[in-house]
Amino acid sequence: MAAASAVQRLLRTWLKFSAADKFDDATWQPEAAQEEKLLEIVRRNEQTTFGSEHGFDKVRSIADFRAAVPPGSYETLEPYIERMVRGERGVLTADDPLMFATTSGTTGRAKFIPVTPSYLHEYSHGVHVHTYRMFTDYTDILEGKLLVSSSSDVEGQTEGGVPYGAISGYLTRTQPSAIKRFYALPYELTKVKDVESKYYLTLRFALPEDIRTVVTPNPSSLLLLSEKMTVFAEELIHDIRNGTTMDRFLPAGVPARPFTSFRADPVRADELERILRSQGRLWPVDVWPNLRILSCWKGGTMPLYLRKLSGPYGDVPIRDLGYMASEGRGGTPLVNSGAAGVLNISSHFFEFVPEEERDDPSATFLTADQLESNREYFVYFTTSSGLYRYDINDVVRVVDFYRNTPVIQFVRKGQGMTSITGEKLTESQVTGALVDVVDARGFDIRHFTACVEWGEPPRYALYAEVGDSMTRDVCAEFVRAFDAALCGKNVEYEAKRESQRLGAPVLKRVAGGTYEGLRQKRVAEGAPEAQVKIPQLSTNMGFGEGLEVLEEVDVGVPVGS
Amino acid sequence: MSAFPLAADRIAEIERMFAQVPLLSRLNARQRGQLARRATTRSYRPESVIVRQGDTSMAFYVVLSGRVRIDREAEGGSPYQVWEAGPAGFFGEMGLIDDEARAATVVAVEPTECALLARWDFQKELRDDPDIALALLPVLNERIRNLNEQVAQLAGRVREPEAEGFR
Repeated sequence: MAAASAVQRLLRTWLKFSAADKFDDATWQPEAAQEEKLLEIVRRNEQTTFGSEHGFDKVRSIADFRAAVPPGSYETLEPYIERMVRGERGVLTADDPLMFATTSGTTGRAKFIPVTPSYLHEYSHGVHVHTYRMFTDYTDILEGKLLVSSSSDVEGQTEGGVPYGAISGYLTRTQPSAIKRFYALPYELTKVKDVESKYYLTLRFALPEDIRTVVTPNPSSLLLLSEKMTVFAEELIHDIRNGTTMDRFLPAGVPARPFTSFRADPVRADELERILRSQGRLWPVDVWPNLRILSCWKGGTMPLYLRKLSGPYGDVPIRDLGYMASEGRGGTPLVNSGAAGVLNISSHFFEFVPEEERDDPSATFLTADQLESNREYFVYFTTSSGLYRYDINDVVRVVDFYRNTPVIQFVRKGQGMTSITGEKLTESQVTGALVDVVDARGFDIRHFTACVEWGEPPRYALYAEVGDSMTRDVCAEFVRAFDAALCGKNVEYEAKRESQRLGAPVLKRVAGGTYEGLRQKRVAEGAPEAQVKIPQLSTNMGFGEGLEVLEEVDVGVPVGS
Repeated sequence: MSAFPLAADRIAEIERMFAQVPLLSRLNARQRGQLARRATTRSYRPESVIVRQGDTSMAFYVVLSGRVRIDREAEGGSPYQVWEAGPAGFFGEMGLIDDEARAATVVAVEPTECALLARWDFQKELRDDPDIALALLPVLNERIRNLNEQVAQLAGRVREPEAEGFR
């Protein structure tokens, strides 16, 4: 234990001098720190195709950069990224990508974000600041183990032979072995795709250990982990007692070694058995009494799940994991209160547009030092992954200031997009899926709106006015077809459905004339009749309130089954 | 970039204002000066929200000029105004020590300037000069005594919360 504490102190010291102090100093003067970061990115990439086309060699200030590079999106950068995916060098970035991080795009295809060594350094910088603060606030974390979830970084290879997948898997795989020994889960677990197996094996590794912290982006995963703990309690205790792993949970196509190399631990099995007999269940609060902190997303749509964590996890403090995406890390939480983090001014260069100016061609682009408290802004990233003035379509709110640097909280995705579990579903994807299945199968759908419906798991409610041919069975067919079509259009929706973090959609048939009534209501509220559009993907979770639902068709099956 | 960005005259101005803040009033001029050196300042337009109830709490605020209104929203209820504060008024002081979300919403009612002191900067000064903590103890003790009296009085009737004590 003393050795583990010494390691934590040593690591903390390294994190302080390698990352935390630089970040901390920068917070006094965010404008200077941001210009320094921007010019570092520009200088490094001025000989690239994009840099040459946009005169990076003449950029000496933030103003120069703005004059040289228009704000853009994935679509505007996609031609360059496609060249990188094909293996061309020096297109957006001077350094070659180690991998591509995949994330869902606004069109049918996945986005590929180049992960270069310099980008990885920027990304890890935020991770290191976060970890430094955790190690400072909780000094005995490494006396036990860390349960950190991650996904595979090698889902496939591009035409140019570069792997693509999740950046979290890359970080896990490349941890120094001295650090890996504190992780409860082996890297190989990222390769397991079957959800039941993944959760069983996660618990098979973690239950015998003294888990001190759990880090996973989505709090719904924490709930699922606690549920599976009880569901699989008997099997897990049996396996822990005997040093075995139930065959039915061993993954196919993945080397078995890390999943079968356990020692028998009858003492721990007895402890767990006692808890199971006395409590009637296994919960993290009982099996991991030294759990110090949880880290997961707390903003956006997460509060519903956070409220439910207090049962299985007791009063363990929860710290936000930070505003982050494959495209970059926006904020680093340094305290447990609320869901906000300090803007990562020493990681990337950020610009902001006031939320109300989003569609204004002359919108004001602001830097970190120009933000105001409690205002909402759209964020634009410039990073060493070759994203220049990149519109990530996220809205953040400034909740406080750390010295002169804004403390930001993720609020929601931008217009026309919903994301309950990270699926980032756009209206164009919903419309595309709807049109595909109606064209292919002749479903008589008159009006249609998908919107988020909370539950365990959450799902999409499909409000629809339908024709007479849409019997209950045909409606069920429609739901399955629509669900499958949506999977084809959005890789993250598909992943969330497969992992059961998103439930199957439910059709809610509403009476004829319902949509006309909605239109009339909008007009009565002052909207020009010709401009009234009832969305096919509503970001308003209260969309269905007050609508008369005649019938619900709940297929209730996982996708692909 | 580690130099603190405020000019000497601004630091002196903030130090003088800190002298009027009850929480800091028992510190000596040198100790208040140390804290003032670590402060930053921000300006707020009328009706702009400075901090919001339930949000992440990172700093202690002292009003340098202008006026703020402190609103608190009861669970499931509508906001009610708790208090107004002018120069030397303060809020967020409990966040210097603990790690709880903001307990009230603070709105500028006129053009307002505040000095902000970050939690870790305050704690660093405490570590460097434990006498600061000793000077704060009587103030905190007095607050506990007042709260105890309020609890006793609340046995029979509901009183409006006191101004101090919001994060």
